[in-house]
Amino acid sequence: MILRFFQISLSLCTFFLVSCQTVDSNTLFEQLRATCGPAQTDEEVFISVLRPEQTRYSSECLNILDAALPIDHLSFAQARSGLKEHVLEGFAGLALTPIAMPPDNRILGTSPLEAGAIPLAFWRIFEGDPGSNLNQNAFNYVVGKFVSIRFVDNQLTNLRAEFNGGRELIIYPKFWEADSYWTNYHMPYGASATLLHEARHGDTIAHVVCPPDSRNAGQSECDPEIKGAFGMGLVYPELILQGSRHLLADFSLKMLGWLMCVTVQISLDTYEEIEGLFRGRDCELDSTADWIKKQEGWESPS
Amino acid sequence: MILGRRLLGIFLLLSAVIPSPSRADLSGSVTPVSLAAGGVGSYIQCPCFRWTIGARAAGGVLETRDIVISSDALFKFRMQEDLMWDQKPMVKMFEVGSLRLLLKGAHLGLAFPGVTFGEDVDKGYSDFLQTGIYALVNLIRTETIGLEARTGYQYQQYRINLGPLLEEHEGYEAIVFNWRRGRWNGSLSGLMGFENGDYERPHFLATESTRIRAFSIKDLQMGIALEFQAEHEPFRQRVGLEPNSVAATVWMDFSYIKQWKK
Repeated sequence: MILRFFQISLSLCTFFLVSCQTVDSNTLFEQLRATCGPAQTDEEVFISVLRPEQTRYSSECLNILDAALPIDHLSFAQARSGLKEHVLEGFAGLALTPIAMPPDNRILGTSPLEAGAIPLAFWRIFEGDPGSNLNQNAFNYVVGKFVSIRFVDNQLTNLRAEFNGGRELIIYPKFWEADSYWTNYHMPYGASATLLHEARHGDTIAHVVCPPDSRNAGQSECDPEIKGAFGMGLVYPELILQGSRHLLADFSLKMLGWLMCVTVQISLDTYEEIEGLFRGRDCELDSTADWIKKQEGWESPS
Repeated sequence: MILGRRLLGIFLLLSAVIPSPSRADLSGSVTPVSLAAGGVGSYIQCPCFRWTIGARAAGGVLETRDIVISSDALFKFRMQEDLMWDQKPMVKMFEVGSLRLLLKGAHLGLAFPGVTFGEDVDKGYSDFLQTGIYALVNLIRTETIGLEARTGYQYQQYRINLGPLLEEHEGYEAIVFNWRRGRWNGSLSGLMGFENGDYERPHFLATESTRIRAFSIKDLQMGIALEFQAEHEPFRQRVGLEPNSVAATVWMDFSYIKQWKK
């Protein structure tokens, strides 16, 4: 009897959870591409980090997402002005910032494993089927993970976002703060990376307890391999570097370098070769555009 | 090579002494099909939860006065994924041809664990292929318990993260304890192996499984099982991956089992 109850419950849960996923992310992706136009260089558009009340994408562009995504508008009414738009900007960035897999499977020119840097699980997410569009795969992957996007006004938490067991994406105030320059991922790339991070938890992959000699020792804030959620904070910037190389301003290169640096220094120091890249570096000061270009082998530092 | 020659020697010895069974001798069981579903929680290497489904076909045991020929299943399939969360399969593994022969009088046997192939995205493996052979000494064999020691060779090839094709040769020793009492049965096993001649960093694998036959209707059985596995795989460390893993699996299975006795 208990087993039958379990079976029926499981079937119903499966049915309803799958049927909750009503967003047609392929159509949404096409709408975004048609409305928001082709990718522009950082110089051509406004960079949100410099004037935080605006976003990189037009309100017309973000309205498409606002109408289609499962956003809990009542909860976002409590959020500071502009926060929801920066969440939407993160989604738009996934669809519109060109990405590409790096040659030889390297990250910043390094290959920490005998088999390269980017795990098979991420190839399956971004590359999908042969010939498919990487941006579309990334966008579909993230949109498909959440049944609800809800704001929780928890001023005490340092988290930017969280994925909970009900397949909800919880957005906290620190996702975007107008008066904080570095720590809130102002850049749309950072917002997109945060969404990918939370979506990766939707693959039922958790963090592990950090080792005793690490910065977050004893806390469940580390990943044992790049394939986890923190790996997205390292791999996604690399895909942007590869796909948007000719669109990125030096400031964006620096921000991407900073994002990779803090990810590795705080939560992903498993790989000696990659950890060595950032060892002893000040993520804010030392992740210069010239350094990124040198690592990628694009040009020598001036 | 030495191990290969030893295994060949045991095989030839067994072939020479195996008597021809007569139909009157035969007893055993056949499991034409078995379906299973459950959940797997793992930690360390992959802090993940997965739904799992599996299918087995053409398994069984044929026993005479002198020999036992058995197979878990000649065809096995196992898949793990986030069924609820619309994710592509994380693990897809097929196994064909598993077969085992035991010479009851001599307490010796030889087994071919089959050929396993597929993909394990969680572990980073693609183009995975595994096969091998092992010899066994049956130390205890009663109606309720069994204990055997195994010595074997295993070959694996795979890509990690779509990298180059890697090969692995492993010689191993294992001990397996089985028990059966009423509706319950289970096994406990430990393995120590040496991959690619690396004797300083052994591969360890420990597994425990317990199954209860919840109910049966004629030849159809439903069982519930719990399995634990802990593994240390040094070759993963050599390519920069986490070598340790622990996993717990709960599953239920529906099996069609036809038994007969002489």
